[in-house]
Amino acid sequence: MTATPGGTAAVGLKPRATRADRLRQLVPVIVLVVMYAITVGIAPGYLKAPQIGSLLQLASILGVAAVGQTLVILVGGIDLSVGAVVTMTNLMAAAIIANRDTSLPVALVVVLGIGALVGLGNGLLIQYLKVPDLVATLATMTIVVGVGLLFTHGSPKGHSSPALNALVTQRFLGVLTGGVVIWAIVAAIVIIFLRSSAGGRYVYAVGLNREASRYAAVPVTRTVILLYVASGLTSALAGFLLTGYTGSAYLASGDTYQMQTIAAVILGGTSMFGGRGGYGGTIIGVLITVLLVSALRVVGIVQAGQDIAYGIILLSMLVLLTRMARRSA
Amino acid sequence: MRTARNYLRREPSVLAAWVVLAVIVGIWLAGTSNLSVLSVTIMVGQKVPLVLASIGAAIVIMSRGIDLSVGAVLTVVNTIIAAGTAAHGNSVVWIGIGMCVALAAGAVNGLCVAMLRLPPLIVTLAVQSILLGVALYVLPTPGGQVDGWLKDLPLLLVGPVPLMLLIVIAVPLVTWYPLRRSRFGSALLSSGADEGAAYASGINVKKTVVSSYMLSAFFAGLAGVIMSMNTGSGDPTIGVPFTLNTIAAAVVGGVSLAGGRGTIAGPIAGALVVSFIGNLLFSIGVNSYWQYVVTGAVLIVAIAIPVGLRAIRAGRQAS
Repeated sequence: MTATPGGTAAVGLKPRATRADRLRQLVPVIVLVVMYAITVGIAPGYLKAPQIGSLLQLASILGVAAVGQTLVILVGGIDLSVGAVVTMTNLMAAAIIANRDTSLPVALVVVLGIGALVGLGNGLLIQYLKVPDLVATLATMTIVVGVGLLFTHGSPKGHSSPALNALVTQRFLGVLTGGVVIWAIVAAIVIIFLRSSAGGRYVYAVGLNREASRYAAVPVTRTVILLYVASGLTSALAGFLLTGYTGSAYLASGDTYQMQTIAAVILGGTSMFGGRGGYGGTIIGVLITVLLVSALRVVGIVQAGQDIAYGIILLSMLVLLTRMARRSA
Repeated sequence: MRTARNYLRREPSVLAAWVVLAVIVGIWLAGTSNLSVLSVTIMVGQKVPLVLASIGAAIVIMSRGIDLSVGAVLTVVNTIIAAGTAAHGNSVVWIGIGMCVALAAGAVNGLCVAMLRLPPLIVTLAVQSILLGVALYVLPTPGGQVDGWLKDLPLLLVGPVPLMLLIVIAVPLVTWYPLRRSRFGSALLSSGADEGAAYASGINVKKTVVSSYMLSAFFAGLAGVIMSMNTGSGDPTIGVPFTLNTIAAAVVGGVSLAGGRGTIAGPIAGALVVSFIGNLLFSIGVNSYWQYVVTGAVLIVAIAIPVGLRAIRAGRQAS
C-alpha cells in the first residue's frame, strides 16, 4: 500500500458518489441490520458481549484477508491464491514460532515476506506475461498449496506462542481483542488510502478504464502489481493471526478464505467489474458472512443447510445489488 | 490432411498440449515397469471424469463465462446415485434423477448470467455452495453404493480396448462435433468473442449462454456418473479438486479466458496433462507433493508460451 507516487495526472479524478453508489453502500448495511435483528430474535445471546466478541474475533481474520481481495477486485482483478497463502503462512508461522514468544518477530517478517513474494509473482505474471488474473492466481495458488505440503511433509508441526494467542483471543473492554485492533488499523489505512491519496485515485481509475488510465499517465502496471503484493501481505497477516486463533496449524486451515473473501467483497457492494466500491463495504460484507455462518450454527442447522443458505443469500444479494444499481443509474 | 494442418496452424496451443501430453506419457511409460492391461484400464477410467468435466468447463469459457460449480455438480450426481441406490436400489433411475438435478443447476447458472446479467464467477460460486449443501444432505458421510454391474464397467474391455478409453473418444465425437458444426457452435464462439456483434448478426446470445452452462452441467453430471462407477460409492467432497483442475485443463488446452476461442481437443489433452502429472512424478520417484508445484508451473508456461511467441512474431514484423 505504498502506491502513492506524486503524480498530478489523476488528482482531478475523485469519483463522485452517484445515487447508485449510495444505494450500493446502503443495501449491505440494511441486510446486516435485518440479519442481526433476526439472529437476536432467535438467539438473544447475540446481544451479549461474549457472543459479539467471538464474532468480531472471527471477523478480524477474514477482514484482514479480505483487504487484498477488495483492492484487487477494485481494479477488475481477482485473487484466488488468498486461501492458499493463509494456509501456508499459518503452517510456517506455527513451525517458526514453536511455542516461543521470542520467535514472533522472525515469524512475522518471514511470513509477510513470503506473502509479498507470492503477490509479486501474481502481479508480474498478470502484467508482464499477460496471464489473465484468474489463471495467474490459480497457478500460484496451486504452487503455494504444494509448497505448504512440501514444507510440512503432510504433518504440520509447531504451535503458536502465549503472546500471539493472547493477542488474538484475549478480550478487553468486553468485546475487543488485539486482533480486532489490528484489523481496525489496517482497515483505517486502506480506507484513507483509497479515499484520499493519489494511489487510491489510481486504483479507481485503473478499475474503471485501464486504457484511458494509461493515456492519463496513471502508472497502471505498477499499481496493479503493488495491489497484488498488498493482497499477498494481508493474506499472510491473516495467516499469522489465524495461528494465534487456532493455537497451531493444520493443512487446509485457510482454504475457506479463498471464496469467503470474494463473497465478502461482493456482499459489501464492490463491483466485480472494478472501479466501484471500497473497503467500507467489505467490512459489512465480512460481518454479514461471519454472522450468517455463526447464526446458522447456533440455530442448529447442519453444515449442509449452512452451505445452501450461504449460496442463496449470496445469489439474492447479488440480484438485489445489481437491480438497484441498474434502476437508479 | 490440409484441414488438419490448417486446424493446427489456427490452434497452435492444441498441438502444444498434445505434444506435452505425449512427452509426459512417454516418460511415464519409460519409468513404469509393471504395466498390465488391468492397471492401464483402471488408470484410464480414473482420468475420464476430469476429461468430461473439462469439456464442459471449456464450453462455458468459450462463451466468455466461467463455471466454478463443475466440481459441485459432479459431487451432487455422485451422492444422489450412491445414496439413492443404497436406499432403494436401481442405479439407472438415480442416474436419471442426478442428471436432471445437474441440468437444473446448469439452467440456474445460465439464466442468472444471461437474463439477470450477473457476474458468472459469483453466480457459479453461489450455486456451488448450494449444490455442496444438497450433496451433504443427500449423503452426510462417504458411503452408499451402486449396482454391481456399474462397478464392473470401468474394468470392461471391448476387444483389447478398455471401454473407458472408448468413452473418452466417443463422447466428444458424438456430442461436441455435431454441436460445433451446427449453428450453436458458431453462435457459441461468436457470443464469446463479441456479444454485441453476435447479437447484431441475429444470434440469440441469451439462449446460447444458457445452453453453454447447461452443457457444462451435463458433462459434469456425466463425469459424476463415471466417478460413481469408479468408486462404487459416494462422497460429498469428491468433486472439490475438479473445479480448478477443469479450468486449468481448459487453459492448458488453449481455450482463451477472454472467450470466443477454443477447441475441445485442447481441453481433453489439457485434462490428461493435468492428471498425468501425478502419475509421472510417482513413476520417477518424486515426492507426490511436488505435483501441485509442477501443475502450477505447467499452467503458467502454457499461458506464457503463446504470449511469448506473439511478442517474438510482433518483434520480427516490426524490424
